[in-house]
Amino acid sequence: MLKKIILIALICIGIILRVYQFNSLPSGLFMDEVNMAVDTKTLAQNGTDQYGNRFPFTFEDVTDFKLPVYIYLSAIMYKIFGPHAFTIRLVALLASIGTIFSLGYLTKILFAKKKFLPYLTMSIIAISPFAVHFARIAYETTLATFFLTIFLISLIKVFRGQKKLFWFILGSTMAILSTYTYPGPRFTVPVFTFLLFVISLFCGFEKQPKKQIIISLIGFLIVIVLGFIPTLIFSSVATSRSLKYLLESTGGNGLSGITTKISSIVSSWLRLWNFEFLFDKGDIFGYRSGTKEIGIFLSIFIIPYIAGLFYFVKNFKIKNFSLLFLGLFALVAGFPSALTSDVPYATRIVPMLIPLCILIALGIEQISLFLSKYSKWVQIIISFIIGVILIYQILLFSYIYFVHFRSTSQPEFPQASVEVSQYIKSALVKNPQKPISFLNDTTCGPWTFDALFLWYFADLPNNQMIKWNNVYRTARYNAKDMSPFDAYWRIAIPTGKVENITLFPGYRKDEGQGIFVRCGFHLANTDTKKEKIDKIFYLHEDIQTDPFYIVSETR
Amino acid sequence: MKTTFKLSHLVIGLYVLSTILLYFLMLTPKTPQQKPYLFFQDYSLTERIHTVIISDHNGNRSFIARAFFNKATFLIGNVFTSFYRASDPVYIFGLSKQPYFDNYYPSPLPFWEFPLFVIAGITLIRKWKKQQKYLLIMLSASLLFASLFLSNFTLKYFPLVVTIELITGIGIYSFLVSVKKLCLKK
Repeated sequence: MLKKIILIALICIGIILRVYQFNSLPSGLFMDEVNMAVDTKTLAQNGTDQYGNRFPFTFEDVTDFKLPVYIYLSAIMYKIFGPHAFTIRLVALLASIGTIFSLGYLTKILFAKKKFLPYLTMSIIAISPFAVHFARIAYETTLATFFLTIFLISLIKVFRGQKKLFWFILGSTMAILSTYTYPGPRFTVPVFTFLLFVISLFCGFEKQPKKQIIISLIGFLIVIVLGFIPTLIFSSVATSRSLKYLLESTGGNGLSGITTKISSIVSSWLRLWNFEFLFDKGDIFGYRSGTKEIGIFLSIFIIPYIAGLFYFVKNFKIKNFSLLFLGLFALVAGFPSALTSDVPYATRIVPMLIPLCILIALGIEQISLFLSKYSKWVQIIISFIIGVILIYQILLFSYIYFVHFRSTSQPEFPQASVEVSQYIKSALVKNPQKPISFLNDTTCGPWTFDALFLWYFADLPNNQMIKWNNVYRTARYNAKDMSPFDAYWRIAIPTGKVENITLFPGYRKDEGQGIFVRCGFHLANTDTKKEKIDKIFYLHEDIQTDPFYIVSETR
Repeated sequence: MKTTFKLSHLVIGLYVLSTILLYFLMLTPKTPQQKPYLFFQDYSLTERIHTVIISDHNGNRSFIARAFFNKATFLIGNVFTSFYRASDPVYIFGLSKQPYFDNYYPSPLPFWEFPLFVIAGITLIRKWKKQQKYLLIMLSASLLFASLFLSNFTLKYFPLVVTIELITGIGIYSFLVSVKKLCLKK
């Protein structure tokens, strides 16, 4: 009973860590998020994307293409809550909390005899720093992982012949939804199902009729293949861009290129199991992938992780369905990242939480079995030490996330961009006649696109913005010697007018009166004889360093 | 049975010796920078301290920050970082030229030994015998030794290399014996 209470308490802590300060941390929106936010706004208000295309199948943004499910679901949230940072992140939060429970249920049906395993798995994913972080930002991979867990549950249920039709329909729906939420499952779902099908041809699972298993897998495979048809018809450009990552060589030509690519895939996949990655630093690529100060899991879980791997290797048999299922999924789920990147790529490895959490839970179970051979006092002392370390590490993570990350995440999640947009909105409300010049030589930083923040948080009218955005899109496509998806922060914005706001390329606009908004690096170009500085928005507001925007007014 | 026992020792011994010679050959210093260093050589340490400085400037919070970020925690963190790197097969077997957490130095073992090590490791775990706990102790001790250094001082991996070669030798021998048995059965 006590064990159960502790594990439930850990799950509650995990939920609190996801929900606490949800609206203000990370304080701004990342580039991908603000793009999706603008799409949800136009979709909810006009039924179009940010370029004016009606109910699109794929969403093109400034840096990439996005699959539709997350944005359509977020549009519903926008209808209810309006333009806030949390609106775009709410779907990810709900999906992440849902995944805690769906993963628990998946573990329950996969290891039916292990009573505590579901609770252990749930508490591990609940307090995983990586899972907590991805619950708090609007990345589609979190939602796709939730769909994946339901698909895996359905697969097992259909195998076992339990409410076959219901689970088949649910599983097929989830498989298709996951492939239209994030590109990773487009590889994971068909490949995993196909490999399971191939194995099922040679051996039976859990004494279930072989015919039943083969038919159900063929059924799922047909649905998954049919699910790809709309992609081929509606989004060939987006798909070819995704495939580009896959086919990108890591160096060399011909045979040497192939060898390098294979070696890169193997090493990248192996790095998913690396201790330093899992328990110390996580993905250090950017702050959108994590805090860089803590791993995917709290470091105390390294011991059960090793024990879990030992248990897996020792007990793995092709006829042991639970371990086969787990091992096969772990093998396949790591590939979307390994095929496209030399090192683990955070957003593509979120589904790896499924096998990793179960493995760690298996390890904890083995350790507690091992300890049960010793006297009660030994058990109490060891449990106490583990408890103290665990509490310390949860507190450490909370401190890193709620204190450090608030500052360190600013360059990628700039709060200043949100605040300057809200400032402009209040200026518009107070004095609708006063002209505002939004001066932008290029954007304020590589991970921000100022006009999108303005559009979303200042709630600018869609029609005029869509017109300007299309002009800017053409300019990006016409940019020489660079990809249109990298051009946004290297080329000047085009001139445009939205209500009484002038979007102007450059940092000086001598004609006219009113309010001027400039990027922080143009502070020196503000002519204080002609203009009075109203407010400076800093990247690090509390210590007033790194001016990000300057708002001035003609004297 | 006795003959097999002696033969296995001879084969494993020869394997370990020859691969250790290879280890020394591979680790011939190529740059004059390869000097032994003890703690606080982690590149991320400066970044972490910088984060602490910019984030924990608030006086009221500083004593909480001290509980999490101090010399002792940095030292423990460094030892663990070194342990993680010593146990990274991608580095140990030189499976990638791309660095991840740090600049990569010459790997102590050749890449072709990795599949052998995996097969050997799996065989030993699946056919776990009580005597193998000594291998486990050796592995832990050599990892601990390597963890006490954090630099491009590649000689710190010497005990680990010996242990890995021993595990590979014993494991592969055991694997080949079971394959032979399987063939004879058929």
